[in-house]
Amino acid sequence: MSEAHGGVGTRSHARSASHGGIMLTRDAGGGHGGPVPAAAAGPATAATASGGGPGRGHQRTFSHGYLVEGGRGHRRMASKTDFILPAGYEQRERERERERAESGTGSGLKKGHTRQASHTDSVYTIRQNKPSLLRRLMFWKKGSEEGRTRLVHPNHEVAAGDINPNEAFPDNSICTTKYTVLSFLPKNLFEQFHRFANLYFLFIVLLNFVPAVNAFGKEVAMLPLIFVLGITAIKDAFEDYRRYKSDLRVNNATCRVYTRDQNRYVKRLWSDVRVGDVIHLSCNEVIPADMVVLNSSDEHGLCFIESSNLDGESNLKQRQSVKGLNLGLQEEFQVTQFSYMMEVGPPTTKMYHFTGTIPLATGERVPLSKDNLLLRDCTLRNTDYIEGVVVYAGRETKAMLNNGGTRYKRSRLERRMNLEVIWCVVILFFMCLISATGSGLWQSQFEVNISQGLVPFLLPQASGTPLPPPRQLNSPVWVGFISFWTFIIIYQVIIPISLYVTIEVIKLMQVYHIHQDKDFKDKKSGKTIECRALNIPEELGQIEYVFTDKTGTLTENQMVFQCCSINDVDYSHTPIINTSSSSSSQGSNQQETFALNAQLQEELSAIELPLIYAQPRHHQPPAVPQNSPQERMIDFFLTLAACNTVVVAKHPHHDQMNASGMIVPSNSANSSEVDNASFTSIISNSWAPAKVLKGMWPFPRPLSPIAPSPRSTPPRTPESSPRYPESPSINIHMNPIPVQNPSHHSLDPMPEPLSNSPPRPTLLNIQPELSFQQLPSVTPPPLDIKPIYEAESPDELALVDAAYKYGFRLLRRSLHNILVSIPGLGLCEYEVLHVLPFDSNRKRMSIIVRHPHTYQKILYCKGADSAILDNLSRDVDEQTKLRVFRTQQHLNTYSKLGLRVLCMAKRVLSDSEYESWAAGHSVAENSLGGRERKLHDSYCRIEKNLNLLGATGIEDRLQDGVPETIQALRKAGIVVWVLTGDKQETAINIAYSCALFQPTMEILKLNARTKDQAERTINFFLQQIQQQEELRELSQSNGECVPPGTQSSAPAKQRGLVVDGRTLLYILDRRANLKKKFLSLAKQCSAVLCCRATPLQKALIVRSAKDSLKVLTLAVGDGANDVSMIQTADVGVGISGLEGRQAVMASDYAIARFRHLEKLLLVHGHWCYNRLARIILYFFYKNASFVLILLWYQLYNGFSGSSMIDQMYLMVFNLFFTSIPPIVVGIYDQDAPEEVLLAEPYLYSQGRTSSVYQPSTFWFNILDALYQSVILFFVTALCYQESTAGMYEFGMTVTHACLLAQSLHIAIETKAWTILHIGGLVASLLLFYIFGALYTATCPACLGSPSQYGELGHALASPVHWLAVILTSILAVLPRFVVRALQCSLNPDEVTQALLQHHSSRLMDFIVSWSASTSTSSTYRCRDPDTT
Amino acid sequence: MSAQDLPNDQSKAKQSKFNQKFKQQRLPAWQPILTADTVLPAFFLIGLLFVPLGAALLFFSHSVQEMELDYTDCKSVEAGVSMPCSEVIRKSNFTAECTCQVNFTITEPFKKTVYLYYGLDNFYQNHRRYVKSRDDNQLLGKDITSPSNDCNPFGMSDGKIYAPCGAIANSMFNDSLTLYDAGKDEKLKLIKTDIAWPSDRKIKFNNPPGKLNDSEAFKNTIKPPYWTKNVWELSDDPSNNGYKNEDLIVWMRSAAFPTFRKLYGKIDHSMIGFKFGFPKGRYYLEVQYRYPVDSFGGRKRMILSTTSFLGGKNNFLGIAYITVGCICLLLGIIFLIIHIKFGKRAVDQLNINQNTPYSD
Repeated sequence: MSEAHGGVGTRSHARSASHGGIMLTRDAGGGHGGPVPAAAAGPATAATASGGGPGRGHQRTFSHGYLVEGGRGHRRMASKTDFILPAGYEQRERERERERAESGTGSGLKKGHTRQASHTDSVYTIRQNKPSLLRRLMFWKKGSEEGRTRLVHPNHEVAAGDINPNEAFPDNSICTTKYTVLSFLPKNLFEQFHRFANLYFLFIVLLNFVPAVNAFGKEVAMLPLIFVLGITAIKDAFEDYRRYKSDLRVNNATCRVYTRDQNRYVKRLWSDVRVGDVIHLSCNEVIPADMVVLNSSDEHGLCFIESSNLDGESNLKQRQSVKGLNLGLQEEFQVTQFSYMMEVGPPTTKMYHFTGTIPLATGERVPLSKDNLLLRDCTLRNTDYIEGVVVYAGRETKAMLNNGGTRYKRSRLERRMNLEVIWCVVILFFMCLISATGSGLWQSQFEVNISQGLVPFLLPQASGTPLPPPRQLNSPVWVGFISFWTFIIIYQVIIPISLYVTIEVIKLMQVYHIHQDKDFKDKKSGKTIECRALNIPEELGQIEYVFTDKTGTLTENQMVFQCCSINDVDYSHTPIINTSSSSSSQGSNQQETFALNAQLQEELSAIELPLIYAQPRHHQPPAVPQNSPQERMIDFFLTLAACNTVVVAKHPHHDQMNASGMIVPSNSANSSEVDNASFTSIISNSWAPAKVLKGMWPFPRPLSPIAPSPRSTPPRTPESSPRYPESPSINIHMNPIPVQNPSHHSLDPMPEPLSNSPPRPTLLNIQPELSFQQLPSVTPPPLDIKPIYEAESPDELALVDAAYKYGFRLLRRSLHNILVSIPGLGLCEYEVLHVLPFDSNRKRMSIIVRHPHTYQKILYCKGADSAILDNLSRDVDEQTKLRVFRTQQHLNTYSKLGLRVLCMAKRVLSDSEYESWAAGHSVAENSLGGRERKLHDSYCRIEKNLNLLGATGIEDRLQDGVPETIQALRKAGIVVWVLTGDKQETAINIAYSCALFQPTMEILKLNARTKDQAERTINFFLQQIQQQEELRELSQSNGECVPPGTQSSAPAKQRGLVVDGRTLLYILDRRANLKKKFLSLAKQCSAVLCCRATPLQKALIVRSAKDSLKVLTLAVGDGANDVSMIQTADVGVGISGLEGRQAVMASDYAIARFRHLEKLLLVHGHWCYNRLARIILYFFYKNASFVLILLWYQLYNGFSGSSMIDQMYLMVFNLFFTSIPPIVVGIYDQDAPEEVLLAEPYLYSQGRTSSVYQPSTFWFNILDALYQSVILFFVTALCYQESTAGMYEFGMTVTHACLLAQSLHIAIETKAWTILHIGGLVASLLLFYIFGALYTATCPACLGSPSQYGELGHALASPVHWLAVILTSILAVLPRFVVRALQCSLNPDEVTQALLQHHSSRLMDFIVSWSASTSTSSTYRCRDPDTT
Repeated sequence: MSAQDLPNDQSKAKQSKFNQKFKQQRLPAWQPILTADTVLPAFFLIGLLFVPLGAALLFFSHSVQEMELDYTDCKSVEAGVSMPCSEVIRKSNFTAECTCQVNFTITEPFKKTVYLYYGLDNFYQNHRRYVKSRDDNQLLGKDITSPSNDCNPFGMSDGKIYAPCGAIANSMFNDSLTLYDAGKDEKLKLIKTDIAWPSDRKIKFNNPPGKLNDSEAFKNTIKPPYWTKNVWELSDDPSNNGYKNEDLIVWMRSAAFPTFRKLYGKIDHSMIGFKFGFPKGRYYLEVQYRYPVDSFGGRKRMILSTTSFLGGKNNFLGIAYITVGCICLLLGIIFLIIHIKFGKRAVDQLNINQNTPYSD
């Protein structure tokens, strides 16, 4: 594990390498995984040895298979994936760390980065976390600060009047707002002018200030820019205001802070908390600031936090109070006794990096590490209360320092649009050039006479500019040059300034409506869609490839234990499908998931456990044959119960302090009494020596023989913390054979809660139904209260749950012990010697425990079938071989059923064996270089010669509607790839059941074991496909009757491709150069299934499809292992399922269920793309036609840059008059109703192939604009020829006609008229008249432009005006109307066809119902005469 | 009470229902598909409306009578000078006055009110810098100490403001046109008021307070360089003088195109013989020729015209309407054919599509 500290404060971004090492070293132990660009697998050295990395000073190491963006300058990393952190793991790490720290090896503290550390670092580094410019400029200053530690004094030491030594540190109020009231304007403007478009328009405005160039009044010219900036500023201000509100809410939360004056905790606002304050927190409270734990309700000073607020990980993380301080008794922690100063490091962004010491009076230093630190925004869990001292507050907390911005993606449509904007610039340039040339030529006619002042309408150029001499001022070239710039101002409108704002508004509203859609609400979980990216809704309509994770995405990720095979007997369980109970978020709360297998129960109860274990305790192996089926069965369940990382939560938690800081013993005692009473009653019903369990269960602190606890032993009073014998303690509590550990005084009946020592919650709220006699009555009594299990993986929950149901109950798990109740045996406390954590390469995890009775060291191993079966011991008898064979058969059956299979195995280790391994292992653990590899090797060394115990099959039910959704997506022409970590058989079966594969499909399997083999296989398949294609073509050309273009005669054979992880490794290896071939093969297949894929491989597959095939990709996933895939894809969709929120945090859209994808893509995506594409085209048309009209006018005014449209109209026209209808269409238009889109998924191809917005359609629109402008200008000009019409009168007519034409245009383009469309059109027309009326009636002389007084009234009163307006606007849109009508009637596109069909079917329905009703009425009438 | 509540509740429920539909994008919608049969009526409707309208417009246009007279090159009437007036004034460097006469005959009597226009060709009154070269505040009658920068270089001279300032005012058309009945040798009376827009007359143009002379209303001003008279000497009629002079007002409204006409006056139909129009006969136009146009290749014209509700004579509108109407009718017929021929096929196509499996 390494922590890659790049030069702090400089630009180098550190990537913390955590588990990458193991990942990269493939299971063969061979070379590093090929696809990884920089295989920095080492621990600490990896940080410095970034050789092979992409350079640029980026130190990167791989956290766990994350795809690293090539040197972009931001840290992107992610985290925990499919592996499971053993609870003890971190602990030992820390111990080692401390050991090193104490032994003075200096850097010790820096090294021990556990995986968890990296793994939470990650979420924030996903966000771009560039240091601000200012900070980068000031890095030297920062650097100096960086090295300094800070002293934190406890505040209660400070007398009221004194100056607080902590004054220098910021208080705990946070301010996430970007702006303040004062800084808003300058700061916001500064940010907005980072946009190129805004700079361009600023340039235009400034150009207008050049006297010779100016075309408009300066104030008016600024209008559009101010408008656009204003809208954006308002949006920003609104967002900032929301942040401000949430800040306020956070700052005004309260917590309990110790005050010296009152000598108690008082309620205080979060914002008033200061560094050095001692805070008391109860369970489920949110931590207000980064604080060091001083005391915890736990005897060992442990507490747990959940960091889901911070990184979305909902698993519990263990923290520990500072040891080695004389803080009084554990039970009666006295704040006043904490009088130490703390030296802590400067605040950093590193989430799990914290160093500090507490110097004691004796000269000793107590080290502080991240394990003592509680981070702001985490939630305290599983602990009654803690007390801690604040070390970082407010903006210096790690949570705040890590607060990054949001991601910005640019959609394909927008890229396309930007390209067209460049075209517009080119058009603009040419228009200006032509006009400027015209201007010069025209000027040359009058060149001679101008200087004499003989041309009354030509004034000599303003002589204010000193440069060119006056004669040259009127030279055609100079005039042309000047007018070029003038024309840029005049024609600027062709670059649609309002387009960006409009599109932003449209997208915002589109996202709002997606968000509002009720269909996205999952009734069970109440979750709904979450749109995290606001600017890519149209990408949803253009997806070509969908990459989906399987577990949790396609399936429920609610594992149900379904089959197990023990002693080659297959025990199946019928799952109880209980939809009502599955609403609970935690899987462990589900009461009934499957029915117990009666046979298994019987066999279990028949085992005479006491006989097996009722041995005198000694170190020799027991006399009973080791390998009896009974023992295997017991061991099987033990493995289920023990070999995992499940955290057993105590529940509920009590804190005797109320919210205002008052200690309320009576209240608390009451409730706990009640609690105890009920608890006792339950217990007494079932189990006599209830007292044993009740109260505190003493925790022996055994010293691990491998890693002896180096903790400095704090002085303790014997009463509170008894010293246990240094020998490993075994506590077995059984009813029939009570074993009393003489040193366990706490087995004495616990006194009733004392007033001074508040009652601790009872250890377990479970009914310890341990009586052997009661076991036959199998079904647990209804009162049975289960402990709450919390695990990172639902598989483990299912297994623990299953074990629990069979009586093997995991009751408590701590670092070094596991407390399991075994039927017939009672409580057994196993000492945990080692936990060999799960990783995706070994695909198994193990736990080495010492048996409480036999003192045997047993390794229990649980893992994938391949991982276990390959490591079974070879020298076994035939019977065992048969057993293994049978189990394998069962496994195959299970995986054919689509179950997730796991194998359980065990190995009894002899002491010598164990010790030699342990020695080697500790070397590996402590080694500096290549530790990942060494650990991996070490794990593999011990995990062999296993004894198969059995296998399990866990069902992961498909989510509702998954097959339908995949079917629909495939019909929509989207290629669906399923990337899963499951084994091939399981994956294929799931693929069939979720309709990814059809029975008619030809399935191609790529299972290569070598690179060459992979290449050969791919080539073979490619050839085969080519032959098939040729054959098909041949048969097609033979059957000439089939018209070309329709391929319906011999439909292409559908193929499905299955690739396993091993083959993927070769394919994605850059050196192998197989990627192209593989992709071309994949292109021939309509569905691809990748199994046994690692997270990195998933991301690389997405990446290569995105880059090589140039397709728009969407990745769906629910877990942390999908994060990199989600981030790599163009659109990342997270399923907000059971597995935390990491995927959601990384995603652009988070949906509750996979089936929601159908509507999201097919309906909303389709709509959004269709609308936006049309609107962007419309905008280009709109602006071009308007500007071209101005161009034509130059022919009549000597290319002087004059415009017949008043400058105010010129500026406002695009912003106000013609922007409402397109916005309405952009948000609400529906080219086809939802039902049609869902019923006909193939309509999606419209967006997939970008058929609405092609380059040709852009030019088609520009041509249309050209035509329309010609009509609008010249026809109107002819109407006004030889008349007295003034320039602005003419201009008003043209403007009016243009407005009508553009309204008619959008009316033609509108596909579905709602009241909003009509309202938009009416509003825009009304706006024109009202604005015109106000503007032309109120201002006889204003804005420095020729007055428009009375123009509109005069124009509207003139019949010619109306006649011209009606004529030109109709004539202008006529071609488009005709073309659209011809298209619809002669060659309708797919959507129109579907619509026509829909309409006709509706009509048919109507006719049928009508005829039905008429027929009934006629029969009624027929009968009438009969009756009369 | 409850009766009052009920509709309120109902309307609230209705509103929330609307809100729901709005949020779910399920508002009732009309989804027209522009197939041949649906667009047919539109074409026929437009055609049937436009063709008669165009015919009517043509009729109105034809009812307008117009007489145009180009007098740019007219000869000086002064004895001994036999050159065009344009040359006379150019030779005198635009200080001399020149009078010329042009004869014309009206063959058809004009039946309605007759307007007298002057027309200029190739005069770019819409040039960008020309259009802006004015000060609306000055013309509003506000007391200004310095004219707008737009007026330059005709803003100020020697500390005095040009009244009115700017190039437009400076270049004001200052030929005076007088019509004579050649038979009677009688001057035809012209009405020189009510020729400008009422809004301009009443609001946009105002004289500064005080008497219209250089000591009160127009103190500290001088006449524009091209002008021969001061602004308060434009007319004898005090209500038509100064900035409120309608010739000035008409001139100040920039024309849309380089070829334009502006109203000069109305024939006073109270004259004997003019009661029912403009009688036929021989007339001549006497021009006080001051305005040079040959430096930019311009032409000057005098136009006599009656008006219809469309204004002057304009055949284009009528023709355009008839043309567009015909095009629409033609398109209507084409679409009718398409509908008859292909309308069925479209449905057939659909049926094929319905049954054929999706292939991609």
